[in-house]
Amino acid sequence: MSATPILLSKPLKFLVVDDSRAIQAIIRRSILRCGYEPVEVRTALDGEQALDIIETFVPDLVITDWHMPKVSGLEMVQALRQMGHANIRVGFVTTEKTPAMLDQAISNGAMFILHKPFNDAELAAAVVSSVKDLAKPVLTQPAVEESKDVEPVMESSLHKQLQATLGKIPFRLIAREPMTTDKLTPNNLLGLYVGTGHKGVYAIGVMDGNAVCMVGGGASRKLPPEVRAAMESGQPDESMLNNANVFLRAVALCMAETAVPGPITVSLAKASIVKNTFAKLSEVLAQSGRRSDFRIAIPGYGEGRMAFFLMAA
Amino acid sequence: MFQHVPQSNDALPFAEFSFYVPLKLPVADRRGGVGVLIQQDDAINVATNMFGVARQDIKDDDLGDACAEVCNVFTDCMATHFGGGQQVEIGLPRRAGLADYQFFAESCVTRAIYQGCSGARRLLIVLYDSLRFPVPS
Repeated sequence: MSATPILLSKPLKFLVVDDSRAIQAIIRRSILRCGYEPVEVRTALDGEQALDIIETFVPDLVITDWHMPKVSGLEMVQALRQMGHANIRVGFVTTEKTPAMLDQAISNGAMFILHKPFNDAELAAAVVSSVKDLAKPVLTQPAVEESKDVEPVMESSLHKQLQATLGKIPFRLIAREPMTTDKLTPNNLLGLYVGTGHKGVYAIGVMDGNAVCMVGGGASRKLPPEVRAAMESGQPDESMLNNANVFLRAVALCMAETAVPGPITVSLAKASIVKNTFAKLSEVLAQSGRRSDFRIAIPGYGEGRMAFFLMAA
Repeated sequence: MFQHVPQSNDALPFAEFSFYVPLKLPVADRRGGVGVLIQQDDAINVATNMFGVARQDIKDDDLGDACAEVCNVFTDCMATHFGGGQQVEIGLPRRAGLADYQFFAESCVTRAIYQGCSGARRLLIVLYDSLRFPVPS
């Protein structure tokens, strides 16, 4: 995947959990293929062994199988969260396809679920996508390149904003999962932001229909069946839509924090529902940098996606 | 490429690596399993590819490990066939032993056999089903 090694200021740490040594070897190969140096890869044959290892070796990413003797992959991740390791990232490599089970993995913060059989390149891509923000190169990138990688909304800021919106409703926010046209719902909420000193649109925010129902419904303290029904029909009610608008407005504050050069005032100029076939939306989603993508999972509701894009000055 | 093998009374050919994953359909209390029969040469090819090492560096344990994983992946495909859309509980792969063969003989019917051929070599996948659920006509 990477011809030249990406030299890191500190090692990226991986824990591979699979009862098959052959699969362990394949996953190790995929990790090395990402080109990061140095990396530390440890292996465990089941969830129980993994939990023992994590007591002394805290990995950046755990890549785990699902079905294993003693403690399954899901049980291991649940135990991990209960032990207070909320920040350890997890990806599943599994034959498990039961939707209810996969929902549980997502609720517990799975960054990816890759189904066997997979190829090395697929796994390497999932690994890179999961850890790219942790991989701090030794050499400073040129300023131009850095500006390309500016994220308009930091995960921590959005997390705070969601907490303010959802109150005590538990949720999980998963960053850097690109929103693509094929993942859009039929109707989506599009917000246009303006910034002081910037001509035209400063940034664009997109919430898919599910995220609108979940965030808007959560803000209205709707019960899960109401929210799920709205998600299924693709028709958020008025209060969901209004609250989703309020949320988009609040995200402007997150954008002001990351503005380069800052500080500037960012505000929501307009928000409207657009179809997934809206041509401008496809153009925006194809943007390669200067974007922040998120998946949100709320137990009982489901999951949705949102993304924010900085527009060229 | 795998092809469906018509049912016959012929015994399945001997394979050095026979692995088995138990299946259970909880709604019907129905049990079965998927067997994968792999010949030595194929087992070595699979293991060298999976472990990424030379043929001479493969150990016996590696062959078993790799074949168990192959069985795991094939079972995933066959489980849908077994459950007919219902949720199936899939067990862990294990090398088929005497107790398994006894279980097949006493409680199972062969629902389907698929084979992949390369020259004289054959890799067989067998779906076993409970005797209480005869093959539909």
